[in-house]
Amino acid sequence: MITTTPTVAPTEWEAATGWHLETQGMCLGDRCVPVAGVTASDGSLDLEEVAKRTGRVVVHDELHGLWAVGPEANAPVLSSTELPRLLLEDRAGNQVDLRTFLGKRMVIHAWAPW
Amino acid sequence: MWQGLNAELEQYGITVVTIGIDVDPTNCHPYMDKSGATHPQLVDTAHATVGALGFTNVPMSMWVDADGRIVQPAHYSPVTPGWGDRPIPEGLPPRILGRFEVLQKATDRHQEYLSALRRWATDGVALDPEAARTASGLRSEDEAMAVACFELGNHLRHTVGPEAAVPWWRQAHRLDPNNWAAKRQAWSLVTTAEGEAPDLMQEDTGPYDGNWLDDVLAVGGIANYYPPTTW
Repeated sequence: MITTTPTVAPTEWEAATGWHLETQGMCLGDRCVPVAGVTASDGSLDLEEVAKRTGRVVVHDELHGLWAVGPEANAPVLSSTELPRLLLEDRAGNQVDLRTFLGKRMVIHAWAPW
Repeated sequence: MWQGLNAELEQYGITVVTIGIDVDPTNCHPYMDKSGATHPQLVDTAHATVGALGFTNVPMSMWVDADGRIVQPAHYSPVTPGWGDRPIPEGLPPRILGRFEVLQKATDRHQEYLSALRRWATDGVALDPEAARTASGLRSEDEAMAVACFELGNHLRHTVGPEAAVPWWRQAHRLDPNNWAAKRQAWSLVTTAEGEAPDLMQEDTGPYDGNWLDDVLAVGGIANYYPPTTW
């Protein structure tokens, strides 16, 4: 996830990470963390702080004014037992969610030309 | 090869989905067009499968049940024989010979893998989803940072230019030397001439540190080139 500001809308954060706002805080599955001090008056989230509380890492490129959010650190590579939503490209360049093919068992195979 | 496997596995209600990983999709398209595949073929131009699924090298695969639960996390998935029995041509330059020698030391596990895949197909033998999540391994802070650095570099490569990616990709390589997808991707963009087939030797890596042969030797050889895998 790349942002051009140090804040992020809750909807964007949810789309990128799955963590979403509930009454008890920011939640993913059965985990919830408090959001006090994370939410600005306009409802946006402080990127560094929400990342820290949800175990995510952030790198900042000062020169280009960019932030990149990485996956959860010190946690299993798979954040869930379920195949995550993942947008990839088909041959025509269309965005396709990997979950489109659920309904049958799947072998997902990665290869590369390099 | 995966087209043949898809034809075999379809009768057991399994779909093969292949994902070519490359920041430039046109590098994947010729292979996709030639494959004759009837199964879904996708391209991961962001290396998103590294962060989300753990595909840090190729070939790697993952098994998912019909309810969308992962029952075998990202794993090395050889489906063709290794290099062990292939004769090494004479008169090769030392570095190319070195690569052959490294590849020949790889244990050929393709039959073992195919057997495991067929056991899952026919008998449903795989991991419990919670066990699969645990078996996916813990990602360290450095490894997580490397994923973010690679994404930032890739974004800059598209928006600013190839040179802008270099510092962030170098950082990604330093933070996670076992993310071979990040290293091989960056190296290939330097070592492959425009319009040519990918240079798999990846020797003169320009602004990047390391190269395929020396980096594989540095991790102790081909046995450590893929994450430890049991099927």
